[in-house]
Amino acid sequence: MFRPVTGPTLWLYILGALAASGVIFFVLQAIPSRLRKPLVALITFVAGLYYATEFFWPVGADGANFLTPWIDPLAQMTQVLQAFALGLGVYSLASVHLRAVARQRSGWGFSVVLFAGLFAIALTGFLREYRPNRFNENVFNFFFVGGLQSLDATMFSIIAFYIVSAAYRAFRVRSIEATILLTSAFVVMLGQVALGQALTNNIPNQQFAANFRVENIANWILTRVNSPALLAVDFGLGIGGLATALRLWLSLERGSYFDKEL
Amino acid sequence: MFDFLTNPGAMRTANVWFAALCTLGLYSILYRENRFFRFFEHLFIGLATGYAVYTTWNDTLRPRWWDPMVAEGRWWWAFALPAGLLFYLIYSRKYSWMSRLIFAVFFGFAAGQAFQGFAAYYFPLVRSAINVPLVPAAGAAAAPGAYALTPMAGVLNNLLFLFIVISVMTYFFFSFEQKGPVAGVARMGRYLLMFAFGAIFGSTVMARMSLLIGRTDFLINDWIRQTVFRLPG
Amino acid sequence: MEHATWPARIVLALFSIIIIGAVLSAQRGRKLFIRRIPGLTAIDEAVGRATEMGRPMLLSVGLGSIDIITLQALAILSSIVQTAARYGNRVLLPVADSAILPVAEDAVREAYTAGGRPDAFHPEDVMFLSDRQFAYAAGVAGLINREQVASMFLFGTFYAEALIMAENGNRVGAIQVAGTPSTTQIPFFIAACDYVIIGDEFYAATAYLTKQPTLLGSLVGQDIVKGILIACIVLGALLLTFGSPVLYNFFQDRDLPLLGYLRQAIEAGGS
Repeated sequence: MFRPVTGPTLWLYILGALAASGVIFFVLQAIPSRLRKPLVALITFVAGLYYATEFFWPVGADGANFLTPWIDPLAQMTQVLQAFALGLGVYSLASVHLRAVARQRSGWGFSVVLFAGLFAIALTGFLREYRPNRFNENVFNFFFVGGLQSLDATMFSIIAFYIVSAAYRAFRVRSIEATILLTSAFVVMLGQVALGQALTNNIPNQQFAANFRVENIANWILTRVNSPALLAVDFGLGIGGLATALRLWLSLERGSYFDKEL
Repeated sequence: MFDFLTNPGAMRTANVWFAALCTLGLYSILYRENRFFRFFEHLFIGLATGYAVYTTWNDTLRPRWWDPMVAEGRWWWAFALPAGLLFYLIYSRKYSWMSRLIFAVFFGFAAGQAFQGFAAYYFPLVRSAINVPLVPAAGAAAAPGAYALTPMAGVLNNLLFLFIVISVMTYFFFSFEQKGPVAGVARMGRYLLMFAFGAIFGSTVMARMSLLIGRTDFLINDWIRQTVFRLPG
Repeated sequence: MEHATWPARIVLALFSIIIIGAVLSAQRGRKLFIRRIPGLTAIDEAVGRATEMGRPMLLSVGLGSIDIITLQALAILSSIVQTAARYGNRVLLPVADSAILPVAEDAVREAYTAGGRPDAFHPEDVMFLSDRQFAYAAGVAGLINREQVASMFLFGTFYAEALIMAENGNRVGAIQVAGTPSTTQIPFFIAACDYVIIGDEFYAATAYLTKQPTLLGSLVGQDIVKGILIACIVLGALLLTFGSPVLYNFFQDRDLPLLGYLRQAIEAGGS
């Protein structure tokens, strides 16, 4: 039954699949309310059970078990399903800004700019794809390279200003923890710039004296203090993540979203 | 009328002017939020969303769903469409619960993958944490530039490593009241964390500065010198 | 490691049994303790500030998709929204992933209902901005400045854009509480925010805020597992010091029959 089909019959099969989906939809909407939550819990468990079983089940000489061939198709399916969700975001954006334009709220002109940018790059992208020529390529590049990429690069570079103001504020806090943080940051920064390295350049880079060169101190902080501390944080996060995954898988998670009656 | 759009020189000039205006527009928020920034903010979001629409079709839906279904005849991919549309039932008062079915699949996948994720990522980390011998290595000699208490330097560093790992992990115990020596170790762990975070802060500053240098170089050289004043590069 | 080795099966089974066992034990009514988490005690203060000033609160789950971190972030934010709902505060929640949008909207709606003010929920306040990192940051920065938010809660997966959002929050005088498993962004949150949840405190947050027995029980299980891990590391280091890489080999990527690990350790110890 699950074999590729070609020709006009393909569309019959596709329509048949959609019709079958309709039947499934009607069956689902007939499910009584008290069975909905157990159904969601069952689907969550079965979905997780696949990956858990695939991981734990012994493998053959080829490094695969009977579930392994399904990993790639499932990953593909997940990507496709998530791609369908983009429409939700576009709808959300469009509804907010269309309402602003329709009611001529303050700043509605900016919503027009938003739509102009959206349609301009989407349209030129599709034209570039389906009618490739230099004209379409150049227009697309104008919006992508000249617009989108430069806006990205600008926002990224703006962080430099914010880092300085954040460091200044942290310096004003005057607590032990802020002092430790800034001292460590200062030493590491010094160790990475030529000016900082020049301060201890006349200390020989041999034997015990080498311990007092600023780049060696910075390197020691990064490798001997930073690494084990982050390792420990990572362990805690890993265990916390595993516990959360277990609660989710077994539908033990609590919160207003999970406790809601369906 | 639109011939300039195929002229490489003209297009380069247009791109540079557009990029420069975008740059200055976003930088204006450093002064305060203003209409100039708002214009480019909305343009940014519009361009990003439009590009997402284009790439979602071009890079995901067409090669992974449409082509397999239509060009390769794998008709069963048609089931993906109603499954994907389950997301949209959130907007229906009567059927909104059905959107939880598709999320149940995603939650289940995320949870099921946690086992492999944990083992693949954390087992090597545990090995690296264990690999800290507490006696000097045989034949270890003082290396130039090393902390010349070697061969004890390695042992001291390893002891410090263990102490930091244990004290930081002690800080993250939640289910009992931390009193006495445990509280002291946990407090030490927090201070060591601040040390580590300071190191991350310091090592990132230079990277961010280089991005600013790059952007400033574009404004000064590409835009003002080469495009506005047409000076040679 | 693409498929489990025997040690992986043993370790993961052991950890899972401990955590689930602790959860089930807690559900039977055992009274459990959770230590104070400094950043989370400030939530009431931050919500109160927004109420006093009559300005909205901004929440963000970062850039994550439908994953464990984002779900945990939503759980934390739901708890915060429930507190905010009691005072009728307006909550803005811009999201970066369209797939998360329905979950976020549902979570916030339910939180308002649980807080006794379903009428105070505005669907348009949970909005999609952009899935592109810096477009999202620019949108949030603009939102913060235009709405003059009084408090901000940043929980989830963040990258470089974290500092942009936090600094703009500072500019409008917002009180900020942040928490992320992204350790590389924590220093910037510490510098820019008023209160920061570090590392595993992120996963402990919902237990702290709700005091749910299931979540508290899970924390007990996590603490036991952490203790076991510390013991493994110390014991492993000591064994390695005295020439026996048993535990070191136990956590390796290659699968061996169970006794193979001991044999490997003995052979390595002899060389």
